[in-house]
Amino acid sequence: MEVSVLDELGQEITGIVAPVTICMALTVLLVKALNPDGSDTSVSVYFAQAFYAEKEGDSTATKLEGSLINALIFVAAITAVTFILVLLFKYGYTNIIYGYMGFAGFSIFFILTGVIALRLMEKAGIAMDAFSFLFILWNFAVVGVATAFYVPAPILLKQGYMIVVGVITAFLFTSIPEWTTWMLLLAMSAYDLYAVLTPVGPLKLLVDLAIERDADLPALIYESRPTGRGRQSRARQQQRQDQLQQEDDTAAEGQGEQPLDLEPGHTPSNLPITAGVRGEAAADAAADADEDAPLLPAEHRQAGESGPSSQPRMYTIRRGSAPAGTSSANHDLPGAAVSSGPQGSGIEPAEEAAEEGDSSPDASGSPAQASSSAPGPSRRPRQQRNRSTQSPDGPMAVEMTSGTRWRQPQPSTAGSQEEPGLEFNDSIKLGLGDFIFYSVLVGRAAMYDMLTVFASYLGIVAGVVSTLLLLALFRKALPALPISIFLGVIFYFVARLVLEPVVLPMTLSLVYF
Amino acid sequence: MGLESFCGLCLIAAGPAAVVYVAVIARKSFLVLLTLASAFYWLVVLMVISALVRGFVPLPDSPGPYAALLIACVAIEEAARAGLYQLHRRLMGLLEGLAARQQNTNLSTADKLSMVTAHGLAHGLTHTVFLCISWLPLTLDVGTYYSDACPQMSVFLASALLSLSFLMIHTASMVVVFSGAAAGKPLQRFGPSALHLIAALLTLSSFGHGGCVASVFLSFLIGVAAVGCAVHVAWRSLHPSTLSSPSH
Repeated sequence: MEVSVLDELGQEITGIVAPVTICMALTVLLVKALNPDGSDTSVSVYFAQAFYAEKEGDSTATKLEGSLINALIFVAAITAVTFILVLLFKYGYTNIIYGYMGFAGFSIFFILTGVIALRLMEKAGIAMDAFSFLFILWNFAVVGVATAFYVPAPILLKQGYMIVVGVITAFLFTSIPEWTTWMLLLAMSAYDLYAVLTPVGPLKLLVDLAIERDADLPALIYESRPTGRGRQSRARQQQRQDQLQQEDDTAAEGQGEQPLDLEPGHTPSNLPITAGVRGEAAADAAADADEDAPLLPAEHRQAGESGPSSQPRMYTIRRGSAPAGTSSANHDLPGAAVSSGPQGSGIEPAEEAAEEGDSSPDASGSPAQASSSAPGPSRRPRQQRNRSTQSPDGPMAVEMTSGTRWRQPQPSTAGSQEEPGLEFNDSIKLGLGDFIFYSVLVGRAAMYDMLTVFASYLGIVAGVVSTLLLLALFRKALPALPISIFLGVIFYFVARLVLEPVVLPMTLSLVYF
Repeated sequence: MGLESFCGLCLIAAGPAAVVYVAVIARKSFLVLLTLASAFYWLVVLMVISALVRGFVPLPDSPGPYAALLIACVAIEEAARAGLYQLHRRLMGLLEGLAARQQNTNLSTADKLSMVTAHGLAHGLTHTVFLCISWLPLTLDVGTYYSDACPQMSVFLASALLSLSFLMIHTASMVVVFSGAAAGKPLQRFGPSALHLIAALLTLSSFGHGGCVASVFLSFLIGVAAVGCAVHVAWRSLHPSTLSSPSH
């Protein structure tokens, strides 16, 4: 049975666009329900207005100047905090980082969510006794903190809690006065460029450190690992596995690698690809490899470790119940983390990981591991695989850890025809800071009208998709804010100043085209 | 009451589009992205149109100036459709190349039709969202709004019905135009553009007292006719053998 070329194209991108959309939609709903005109500043982020508190009667120059200074103060503080984070990570104080993240997470899940839930219930006229409310809220918060940072949990649960963090934080930021909000968004975009792209940027340093230590970033990061493939037909899965098997066999012949067997039911498509280091010292992850691999038999781990650490390796994940060589798949590396701000930052390097990871003894010595999306170990070393399959006399196939896979032309081999193409890994990561600032933008737009919300949304999504495509092209950590925020802000103002004055009279006159 | 009317109007304006989206588009990530990209394209077109006429608004409340505006809008949109077709052709070439390189994959006629439908749905939804749904939250408050020229129905209801009609026209037109352009059939290629202009000019009847009823009714008829044409074109594409049968 032939399958369509469209069947799986773009799944990785929608894996990021969908949660971003959900986060923005929930933020807009919260704003519309609780603070439709932006007048309520009872839960505002006072730190974002440290220098200047915007007033209605102030002149434009005063607002511009004050909001600019506010934004600079905010960005300076973010920079300082991120550098502190880098220092703590560098010197191994990751317990402090995760301790603080747990505290902050609990504050968000218990206190802020509680306050917002109370206001929503008040608005909707829902009554509940205090004991029941606190019981539910406490459990929600404890489960949230535990699953987000400390214990293994289904990926869908983690993703859900990450979105909750994004929505709650974004809602707080929407209470910032209008001018300060715009300045803050633009300043954060500029900061993102500096932090991720410059050699001394704190996020670049943080990402480099994480790669060097083969650990995940100690930050709040949304990971777009697939949670299931319900829509995929079995035939399509089987065909994909057959194709990947052919590729693996070809690669294995050239490198003498040892395949890893997995227990039945763990098809390649539902394997989580990224090691989700959360809650404990990320720097210890590689050292704790053995205790983190309960889902694999010891011989399999040994098989993974037995490969020459100095050589590029490719791991073949094979279903245990199937005959050898009938269903296997490449096991890609962790995806790209696109992010900004204190919550998590930068697209996690692709090429750097490939280069540095191979040269780092710590990294290259890590065993390959895999687990299902079901609860598993929370700390796992990153999986290593070869990213540079050098053919003897021709171009090479370069596979990247950033969640993208760039295939350059490869000489035709039996059963394998590598052609130019652009592929994303199953796992792409986006910093939660990006979720928050996207949502802040549409939340602010919602205080004007829905036309600006839809325009900003399309601008932001276009920016996100553009950034992901750039990620595939440049194969390095990229800031996710600048393009999206720039397009979102531009579309907001064009919609407000140009589109609405033309469209609204037409609608009211019932003149359509 | 406000919430019920808001939900009802949203369902009228975008309910059929939601069904098409779930049934055809949402099944494949690529089609979702194509719809978003196409919606972005049509939003940019709307912004360009708005920028061009921004200096002339507010227009006098009479059919003449609005007729000129509608003709300009339709002309720009049809030009944009031609540009989109060129982009679509390039994309199809890339995908066909990709399908040829990958083993056991293809780009079927159904895939091509679903891609064209995604373009058309994005066009229609962009209009629906920016000309209708964006204003529907106003119905959440107490009361509604009637214009003097249309006492038969509220502005929001008329807007939702007109949006539905143009959603059908835009979605169907894209299927017919792209198929006609691919097959080199001038009638298919330019017929929907003329239909688009006629439907737009018919809405000018809303300026007459009670004219909104005729406007809504005629637009809806044109929308249904356009959908019928699109279904016919799609059926012929999916079943080319029926063309050569004696009965035809």
